[in-house]
Amino acid sequence: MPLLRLAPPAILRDDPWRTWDGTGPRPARGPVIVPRDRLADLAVRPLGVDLAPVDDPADLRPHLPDLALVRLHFAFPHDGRPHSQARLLRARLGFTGELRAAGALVLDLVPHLELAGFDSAELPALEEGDLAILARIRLPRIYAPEAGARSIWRARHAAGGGEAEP
Amino acid sequence: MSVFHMTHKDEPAARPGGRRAGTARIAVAHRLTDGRVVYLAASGWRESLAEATVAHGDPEAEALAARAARDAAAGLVVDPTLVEVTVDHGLPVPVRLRERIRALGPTVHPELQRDPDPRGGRRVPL
Amino acid sequence: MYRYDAHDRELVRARVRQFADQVRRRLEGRLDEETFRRLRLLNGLYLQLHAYMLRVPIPYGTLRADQLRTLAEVAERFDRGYAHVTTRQNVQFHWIRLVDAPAVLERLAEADLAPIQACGNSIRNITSDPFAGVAPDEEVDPRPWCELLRQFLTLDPEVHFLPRKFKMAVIGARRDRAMIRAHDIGIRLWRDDGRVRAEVLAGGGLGRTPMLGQRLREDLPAEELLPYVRAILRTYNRFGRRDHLYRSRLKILVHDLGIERFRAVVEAEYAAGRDPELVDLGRRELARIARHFASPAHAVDAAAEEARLAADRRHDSAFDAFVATNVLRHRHPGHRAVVVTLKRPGAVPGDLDAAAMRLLADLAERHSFGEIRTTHEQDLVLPHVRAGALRALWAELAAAGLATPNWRRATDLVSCPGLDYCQLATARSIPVAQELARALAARGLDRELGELAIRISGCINACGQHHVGHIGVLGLEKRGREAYQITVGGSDAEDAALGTVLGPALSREEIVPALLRMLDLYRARRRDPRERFLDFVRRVGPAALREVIHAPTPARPARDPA
Repeated sequence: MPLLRLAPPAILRDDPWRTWDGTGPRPARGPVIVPRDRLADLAVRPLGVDLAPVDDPADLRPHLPDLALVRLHFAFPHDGRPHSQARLLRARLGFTGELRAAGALVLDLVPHLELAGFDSAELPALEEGDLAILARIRLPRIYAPEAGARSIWRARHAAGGGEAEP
Repeated sequence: MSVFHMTHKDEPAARPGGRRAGTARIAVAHRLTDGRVVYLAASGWRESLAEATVAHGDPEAEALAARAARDAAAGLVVDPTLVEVTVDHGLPVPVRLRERIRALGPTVHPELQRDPDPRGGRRVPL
Repeated sequence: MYRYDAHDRELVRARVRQFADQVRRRLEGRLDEETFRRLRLLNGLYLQLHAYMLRVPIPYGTLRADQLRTLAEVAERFDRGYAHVTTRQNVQFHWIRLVDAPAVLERLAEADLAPIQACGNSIRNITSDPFAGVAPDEEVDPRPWCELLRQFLTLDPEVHFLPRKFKMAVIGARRDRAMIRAHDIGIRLWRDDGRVRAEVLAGGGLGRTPMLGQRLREDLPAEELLPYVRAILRTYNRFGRRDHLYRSRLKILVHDLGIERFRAVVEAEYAAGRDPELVDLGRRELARIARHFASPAHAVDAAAEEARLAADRRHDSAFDAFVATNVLRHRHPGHRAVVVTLKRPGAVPGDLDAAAMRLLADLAERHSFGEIRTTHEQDLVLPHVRAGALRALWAELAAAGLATPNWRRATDLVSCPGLDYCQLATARSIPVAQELARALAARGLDRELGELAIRISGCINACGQHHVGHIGVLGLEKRGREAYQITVGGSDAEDAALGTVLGPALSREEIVPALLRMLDLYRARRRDPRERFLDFVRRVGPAALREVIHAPTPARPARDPA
């Protein structure tokens, strides 16, 4: 499955990461994504981890220095929980590696993934034409500072000014 | 994806193979482009209730539901439902008040009401 | 009045562009209905009984004259010439075609209106006191805070996909004119030695399982509202139930955890997640927004205005009656706020045609600094009218049938669209409202009954807010027929209460006579004319009304438990 890299403009790339489901032979080298409860078992790098929507990202704290990727799963397209997990990983835990979305994703919600700070998304059956759709339906900014460089409030008050226009 | 929506969970007519075998049913839906209420007729989806194809018994109802589901999957209509009717002088009259209001338009705006039988002049009683 | 700047416009335009693309792909068959349905709901487009409905949030109920004119234009060009004011201070169009939706959204965006998150499981319109910036008892103007929260919670991915819809209300006075205890989050701003504090309530809501909000904080420093609200929403987003439609509102989470545990979780999240940059930006953004809400220039000769009004009232009894019911004191001397009820007896509560919208826009420009407010009672307010201009305003309203002197009287009744329009309804509510209002008007009871809040819902989802009506009517379907259940003793004010059900439901034919018998009993047995119906119910208890509801014979003397 080709991987969607979200940094605009979105592009399709081969996915260098493999997934180990915790059974079968242990992977000898990375990059590999593993179940949360098998993190301690592996010394391979780069290392990634799967989080379910109900998992608490704070549980990853001891492993964060070893992690290059966290994959968050959407149980259904309008599942909001991974968005809170993404915020917690970035803002509270200081995770700077790759944030990946997986699960029941639909193309039309990708703009929200991008705003939430996801770097990549595993979408089924993507076609080249979908990239043009993504370019058309992009949401460039929201207000809150969590959007980083894409925060309207940050832009408005960057120079301490009030009514600065973009 | 389920294209066949149940509008009311205890509405027997919503089930193609409902318990009440032998009842008469028609298919109602919304036209995708404008949301208007339309009925499945021999010639396709029509605004007038009078033209609706009446299915008698379960095999006919299932065939009607299958046509409706196909048209929903094709994007012609949204939320197709089978509704129970009685046939009065050839005019299918929905059993439930909700469906009679759907056929007539809002009862509080006489000027916005529609004629369920524009050619025949038959009335749907509220 | 808030006006978009280039940033706001860019955001709304991107959203309109996005939805236009989605509509086009849906029409071309490249987007399935289930995916599209969720997208259109988050853009305010809902499929009702007869057609698509477009809900346009009126942010905290504040509307500019040019915006009202835009709504009139949409009503005429894209709908059937009218719009409907809802119980959440929104405006709905009931006949929008999907193919027109992108053009409608573009037209609305030109007037700084956007149906973002008007439906669906996200933050809905934040409602407020329709007399914000006007009421003499106001401690803090809630509008800048509402706008700050509106921006904060618009399209933010973390609150765009909640377990269920989420309703918030903010007020800035002791008197609650926005029923904050019936909201997922209710906020009351107050002043403590010049500092603004916030009482924060959570877990209220009507619907299938009505609950009143409970207090989380009494005196949160108001500049902490953004991180605190973020903490509540994050707690809800992470831990709210998503497995059952009827168990997924915040009120259920608060109820299941208990307010103490819920508060502990929220406080822990707030303490861990409080971002100083968010607080700082919020403070600066609030200051920027507040400049939009500077009080309009009210410099008048107050004594002359008052003298003119007093003289006008003496000369015209109809005008005098209107002033007595529909005109409120204003914080600025020589001014008044005027309520235009959309409740001429027999009218559809909340409906407004394009001509009336244009007239009100003109009147607002001439008499009210171009401002109009919507209320959760489905009425409109012209908030800043010179006392000396009231009679001229009233004359124009009266000529258009918009000067019914019934604000907060029995005939100012609230009704959801009910089974005449709504997919979810189980019975009609508007015809009951019409029949009841006509009967009350025919008997001339409005003046005698005094303050009386009658609220009618067409199903258990309670958009007509029947639980908090002094008298509530709930429409049900019983054995294929419409049936109506009566509640009494509810209140949506600072003494918020949920009404008590008076026994089994009545038929469509029985409901209005039963309500009239109940009011006859109240008139006969109230302590004095100042005892409101609500106070009467509280004194005698709901049981005293039960038998007259169900008695086929006229009221007879009943036991008085008091």
